[in-house]
Amino acid sequence: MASLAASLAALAPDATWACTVCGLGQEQTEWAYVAMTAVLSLLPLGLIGGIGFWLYRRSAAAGQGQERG
Amino acid sequence: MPTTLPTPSVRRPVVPSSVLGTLIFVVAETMFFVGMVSAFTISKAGAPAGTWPVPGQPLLPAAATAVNTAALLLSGGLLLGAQWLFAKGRPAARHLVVASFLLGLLFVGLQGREWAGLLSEGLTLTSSRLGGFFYFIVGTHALHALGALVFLGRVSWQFWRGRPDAELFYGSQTFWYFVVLMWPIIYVRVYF
Repeated sequence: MASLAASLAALAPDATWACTVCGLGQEQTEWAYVAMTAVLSLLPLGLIGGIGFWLYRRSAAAGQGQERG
Repeated sequence: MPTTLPTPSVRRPVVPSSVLGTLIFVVAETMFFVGMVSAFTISKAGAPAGTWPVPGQPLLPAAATAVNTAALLLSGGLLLGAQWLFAKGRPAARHLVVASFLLGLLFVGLQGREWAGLLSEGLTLTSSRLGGFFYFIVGTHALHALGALVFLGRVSWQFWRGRPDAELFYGSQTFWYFVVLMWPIIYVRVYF
């Protein structure tokens, strides 16, 4: 009976880590993991958005120049 | 019935094609570098106490590399000045382009000397996690710097002969700015 209870207890859910890096569970590691995830998620959006906005501004300025000229 | 056809409006590109093409490449390469720096940052943060700096491995020469960094940043600044002079049609732009190229060469040369020193002290690609990350990240940056210098060298030659190709200049300049601006991020994250 005791071994059955121990087996059932072993089946209880626990946190599962996707990789060894985040599994270390140190506060500093978790912070680095979250920060780098944020950077890698937001940076491409910022880069593409920034270039798109820059092109839009250049295009608008060129259009105004043509209207004046 | 009109006898003349309407004249088509002249369409000029908003930005030079070389700049736009290089920018697309630079965005991809930026993500590549940030991915490597990210892996390094997480690996370093997860190192158990007392294992970073890696025992028995040399420390990265952060102070000496500040000179390399200064040379690279100055090179980028000179190229910016060259662009300003070039846009105004001033021939002095060629001096700044050539100086920028030479400073870029100096940066790569100093990096090579630093690598030779670290290798002789035992820091290799396989000696530790630090070595693996260091040579991979800094080496990839050095490859990009060398590639950009090929173009910048050609641009310098064209300027020196008084026949600069604006399209090549602006494209090479965009690539060099990427090399220059990526370096401080690598320097701060990897060397300290």
